[in-house]
Amino acid sequence: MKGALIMNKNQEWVTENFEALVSKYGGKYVGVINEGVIAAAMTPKAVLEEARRKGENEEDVSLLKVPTEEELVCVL
Amino acid sequence: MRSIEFNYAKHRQRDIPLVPVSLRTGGKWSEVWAYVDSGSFYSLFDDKVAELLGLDLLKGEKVLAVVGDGSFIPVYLHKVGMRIGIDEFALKIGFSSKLGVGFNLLGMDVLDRYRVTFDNRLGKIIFEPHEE
Repeated sequence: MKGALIMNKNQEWVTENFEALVSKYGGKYVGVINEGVIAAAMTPKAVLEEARRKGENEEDVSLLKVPTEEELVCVL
Repeated sequence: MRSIEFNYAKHRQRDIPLVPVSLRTGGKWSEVWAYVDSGSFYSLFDDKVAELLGLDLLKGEKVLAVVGDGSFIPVYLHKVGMRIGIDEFALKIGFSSKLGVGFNLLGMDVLDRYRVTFDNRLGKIIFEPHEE
């Protein structure tokens, strides 16, 4: 089998900073690009609109529904 | 087809199996993270993702899904394009305004396409596509 594909830098940033994202943005959607949060809002559509206003290409934005601390307790 | 490896997200020393998937109904792809949930028959996304994709939620095929507390929630199935790594395919996934969990969920409808390994020692989830 060929070598496995791995996550890109932006995706790695999300996994490495997940706990901080929960603390700061729990209950919202965030858009991540260039290893940082470009926008946060209650809907992914609003996040992409904000990213577009800031001159970013929508397809480059990674959208994460950030759980609250309470929701994580329920899941885990 | 090549396998793809995802790192676990971490929260308070616990591993969270979150993976990025891309969705589309038209021309543009949107990358949305989802929790890998083998306990979910359908992949379930909240209604806000349906809005993002330009879907009319209520025009989907309505089914009822049982959630953690035993109650039923309405789920509307819509056909979308999905991409994981370089693997692209079309399938029906569910959308609901009553999801009630903090994540979008990647269920068995998608996981059935792969040999999925949860390698907790390496901190990775590995998706290896089944040969057609």
